[in-house]
Amino acid sequence: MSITVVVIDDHPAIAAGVRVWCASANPPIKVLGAGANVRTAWLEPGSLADVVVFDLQLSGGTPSYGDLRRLVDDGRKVVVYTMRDDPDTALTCLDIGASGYVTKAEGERHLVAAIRAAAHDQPYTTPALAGALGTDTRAQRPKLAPREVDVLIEWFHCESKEMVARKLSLSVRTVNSYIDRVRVKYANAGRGAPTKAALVARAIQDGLIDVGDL
Amino acid sequence: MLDVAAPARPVTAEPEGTAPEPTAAHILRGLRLAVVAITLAVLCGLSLPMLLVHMDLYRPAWVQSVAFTAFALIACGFGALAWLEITPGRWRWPLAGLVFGISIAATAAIPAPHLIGQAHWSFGPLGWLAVLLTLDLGVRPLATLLVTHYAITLAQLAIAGQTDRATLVGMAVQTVIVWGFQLAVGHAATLMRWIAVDAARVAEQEEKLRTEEAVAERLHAEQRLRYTALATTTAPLLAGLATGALNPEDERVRRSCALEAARMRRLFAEGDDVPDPLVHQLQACIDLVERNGITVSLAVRGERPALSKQVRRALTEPMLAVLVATVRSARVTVAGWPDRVSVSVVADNTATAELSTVECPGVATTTMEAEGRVWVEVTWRA
Repeated sequence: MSITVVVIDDHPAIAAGVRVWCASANPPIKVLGAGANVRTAWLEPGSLADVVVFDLQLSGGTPSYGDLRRLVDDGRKVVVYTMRDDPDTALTCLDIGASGYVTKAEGERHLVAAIRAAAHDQPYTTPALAGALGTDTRAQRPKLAPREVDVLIEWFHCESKEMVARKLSLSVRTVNSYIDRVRVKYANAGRGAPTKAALVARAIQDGLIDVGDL
Repeated sequence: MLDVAAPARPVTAEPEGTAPEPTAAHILRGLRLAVVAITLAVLCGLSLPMLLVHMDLYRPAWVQSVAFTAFALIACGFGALAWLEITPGRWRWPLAGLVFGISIAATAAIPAPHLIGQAHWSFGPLGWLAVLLTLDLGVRPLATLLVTHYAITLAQLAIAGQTDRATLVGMAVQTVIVWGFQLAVGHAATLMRWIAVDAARVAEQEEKLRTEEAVAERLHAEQRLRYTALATTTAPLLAGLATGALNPEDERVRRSCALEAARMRRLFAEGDDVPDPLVHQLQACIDLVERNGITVSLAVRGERPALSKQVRRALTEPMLAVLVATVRSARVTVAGWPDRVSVSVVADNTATAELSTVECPGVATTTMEAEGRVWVEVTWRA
């Protein structure tokens, strides 16, 4: 069964672009609906979608963290898709319980993968998000190993896991697991949310992280 | 921005009249201590013997003892205040009243025939106390106090019926002798205050001039330094183009020109006063290459400490060569921590450009070529 999404974005061109990317994905992702208002995600057929692609700043206003929180608390898997490239917004969305955070500059390369990961409760970290996690100095941040920070930052710098692997003399697989483990650590910290719990549970089930590491 | 390490004094002029005060206060303190010494010397050296000799004359005698002790205590009090650099405030006028009161009582206790002469011991010391009371106010308040004292004494003489010619002449002579010294000291204090104010003003102007000179010197050195930075790379290139030794059609020459242009752009940006100089300098170079139709994305993460100009140059120098050789697009990223900063560029360069680096302690550069792209990362660690 293919993954289904609903797109909440006030720019029709963005919604159209997401439709095209989803349709040309392999296997394709089905877009159940698109709208300029968060209502689309709560009403059928949007309410049936596996993943919500959510523009954080509808009609250019302030970030609608409240809408995001209500969706997340209802158990919806939300991929925040935004113009905002600042670390604070990214970290706030993760804390609320967004399953993914993709900036619009990264959309073409990362949105489809982020939707797929969200649908399966798996972590997905784009370079922009990795930069925010790797330089996070807030007091309540989870404790990261130095190697994890190195991997995050190199991923932020070069956007190529192959290059990161070569530079740090690791395998691409190891690079991936370092990045994913950080994302799980963040899901395990701060505010509780069903999506965060599902992500952590899935990571333990997949053997990505040990209960003792958390 | 000019990196003048905090000039010795602010260049802006201080408000008139505030700066010279410390010097004047310093001089006045010395003078006040000297007058206290004179007063005590007059009290102990001149007045005390007179007082003791005529002790059996006074009616009653204890008034003179109390008056003498009070004068000595007031003089000592002034000494302590001068030592602690406390200037008399509004309380000086009640104190002046007290001093006059003591003087009137002491004068009243002298039998009429002895009012003019050695038995009237308190006449001279009171003048010196008046000098202490008005030292910081100039000569006019002092003269007022002395004239008041003279008038009071005259009145007491009149009451005692001592208004014959000889007594008044004696009184006038005594007054002229004593006032001469006291007014001279009061006037000296005024003169010294003027001189101190002038001296302080001159010193301030000289200091200002020295600061301006230091700033100018620093500016000049800064300009020379910039020229030196360009002289080793830009000047030979321009000379080569001028003499025809370098061919502008040569791709390498063109790239060198682009690199020098980026370097100069960064050099100009170095002088700007901006909150984030490192990103500002990178932005300056990015602007330049974007004009040639190259897309550059810039992402900045984390908090960085303030970096010295040398470190900023070392962090940006390798970026320039990569950016000017970029074909279509590049990604520039900056990541910061309190003790570490890394700057990176990934670009789709076809030809490997020769990386130029700036030697700087704590700065390391790594280069990688893969997937048809060049990745250069420069990291500074504290």
